[in-house]
Amino acid sequence: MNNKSGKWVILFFCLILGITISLELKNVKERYLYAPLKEIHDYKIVLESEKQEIKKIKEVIREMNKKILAYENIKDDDGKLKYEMLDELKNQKAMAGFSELEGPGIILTVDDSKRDLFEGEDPNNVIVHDADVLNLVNDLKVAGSEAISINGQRIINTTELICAGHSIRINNQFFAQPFVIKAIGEPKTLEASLIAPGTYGALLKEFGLYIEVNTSSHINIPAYEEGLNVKYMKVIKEGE
Amino acid sequence: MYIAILGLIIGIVLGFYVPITYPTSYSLYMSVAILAALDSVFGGVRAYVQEKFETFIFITGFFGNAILAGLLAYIGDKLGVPLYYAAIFTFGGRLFQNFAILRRLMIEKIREK
Repeated sequence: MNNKSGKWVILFFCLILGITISLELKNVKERYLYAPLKEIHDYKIVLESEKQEIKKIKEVIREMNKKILAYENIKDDDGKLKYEMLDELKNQKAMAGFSELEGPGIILTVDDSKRDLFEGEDPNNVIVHDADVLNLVNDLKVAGSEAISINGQRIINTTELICAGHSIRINNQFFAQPFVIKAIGEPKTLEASLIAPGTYGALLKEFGLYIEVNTSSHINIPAYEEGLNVKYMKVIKEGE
Repeated sequence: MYIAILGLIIGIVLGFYVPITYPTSYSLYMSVAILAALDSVFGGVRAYVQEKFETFIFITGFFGNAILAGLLAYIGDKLGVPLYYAAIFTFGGRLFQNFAILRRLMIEKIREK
């Protein structure tokens, strides 16, 4: 058709194409990975939760600052400071497991199965193992329990649960069946975490183990009574 | 032919100085669209050499193909099927076809001289 204008049209569009190509080159200069939209969406969700976390942490910082301010305000008054410190100490002791606690919660009793073995069945199937107790305790922690004891032994951060023959070693003491696990927390949630279908507790019950869960509005959990052997850890000065 | 290469080179040089950027997540769609546009330009040059060039057809082809290819890649992403392969194969194949025809025409022209 019109050869003259065609030339310029082609030139013009080649220009556009060239610009887009170099834009793309600029963009892809770095390592380019094929990222589906779903992945991008997932990353967005992760990012969002991280932001939420930052927000929470900032709130904690603000609260701590408030506390510091409050301490500074009562610094002058000796009696008040002592009172405040004792309060704080009580809280810390309760959190660390060095004071007796009371509250609503559940009592879980776990024992070996009373059923007869099938022919050729491994007796291990009907025995309570350390791993079973450990899993149950973990389930309770997931369900939001605030304090746990097993056969009167408070579970603290260094508490071990390890197989010792037919018994289990907890806080350097040996305990045989049955295991009575007490936990303070929302009783309904704790109960559900042990007996709801699909939970570890329900699985154990299916195997024939004796599992009994009772909710109670008054659970007593004793304090940690063993000694602590601290050899390696040192406190780093906080703040500043 | 020469004018197309000249345009491309000028465009690429210009593009490096143009301060426009777009999100990297659109990079895939953009590259498929570029492939479609490249095919259109090749087709246009071929038509021009064959003296069958029509401005309107060229322009609509240029934008239509590019948008369709980009859209196809996007839809494929949404559906989880790599539909942009369709655009790559189609336009890639046509690119070579156009180039082959163009090459024959050029050689014929040179021989005639």
